[in-house]
Amino acid sequence: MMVLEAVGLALLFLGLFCANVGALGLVRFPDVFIRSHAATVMSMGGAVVSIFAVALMGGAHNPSFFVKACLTALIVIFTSPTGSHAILRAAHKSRVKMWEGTFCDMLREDEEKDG
Amino acid sequence: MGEGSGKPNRILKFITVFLAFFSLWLLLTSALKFDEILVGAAASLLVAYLTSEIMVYGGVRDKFNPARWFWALFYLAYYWLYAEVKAHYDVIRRILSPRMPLRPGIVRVPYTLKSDCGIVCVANSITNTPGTVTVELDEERKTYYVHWIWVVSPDPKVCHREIAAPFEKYVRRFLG
Repeated sequence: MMVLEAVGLALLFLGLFCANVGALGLVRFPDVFIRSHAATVMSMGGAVVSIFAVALMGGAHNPSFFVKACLTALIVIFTSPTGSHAILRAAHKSRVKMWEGTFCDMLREDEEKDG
Repeated sequence: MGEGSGKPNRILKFITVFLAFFSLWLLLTSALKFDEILVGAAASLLVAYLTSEIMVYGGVRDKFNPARWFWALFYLAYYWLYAEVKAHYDVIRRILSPRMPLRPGIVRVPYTLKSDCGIVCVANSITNTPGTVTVELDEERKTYYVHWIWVVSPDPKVCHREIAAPFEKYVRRFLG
């Protein structure tokens, strides 16, 4: 029981670190496409790891708590990529300006080829 | 895949969906009292009756195949203990580095999977690792368009090897 709580606490601090670094990346990165990578650090490393940590800490006393918290983490894992995919697809379709250092954009090339 | 939509198959689908919902109910309530189980069974029966035709993708027998469950759990462990950790380390290093090394771009990543579920699983795995996000999916060209934070090379072969191949290798074994 003590081991589970200690591991949970360590993971909670890891999640805290990821969330903070992700927020910093959201400010530092130059355009919406690159910022979405920082947002992924926040949703996966920040949210999912923190929820799993809470699941371990609470699950040490109450097994059903563990199941419920893991289900919450699973829902975040399944819904968050749908959101970031939709945002970036919309941004690309409405021709949001990409950073000037962008190396290549093959989606635009293929779209122009198709006409 | 390939199974008919006759009556036995419909009953199998119904039983699969019922078992899935009922076990979810048992996990969530986690109290083995008679009335709880009765209400859960009634609700699961109703939901399974209404949704069993649209809830099951592909063959029913695949869902009870232990080898597929093993590879799904193996993939879960591989993904969270290796792929995610590696990708997080890489992106966190870029955020914290004072020079901020970036060479972003949208590249073509061809895929070879056949089932819809497998394609979505790999696309979501790519999006969930920091550093790569699936922007668009072209089913005719069989290509993901992926925004990559550090384009190693615009060559589709290299992109496939670097981004999609490790996920495809394991997803193929439980989703086809």
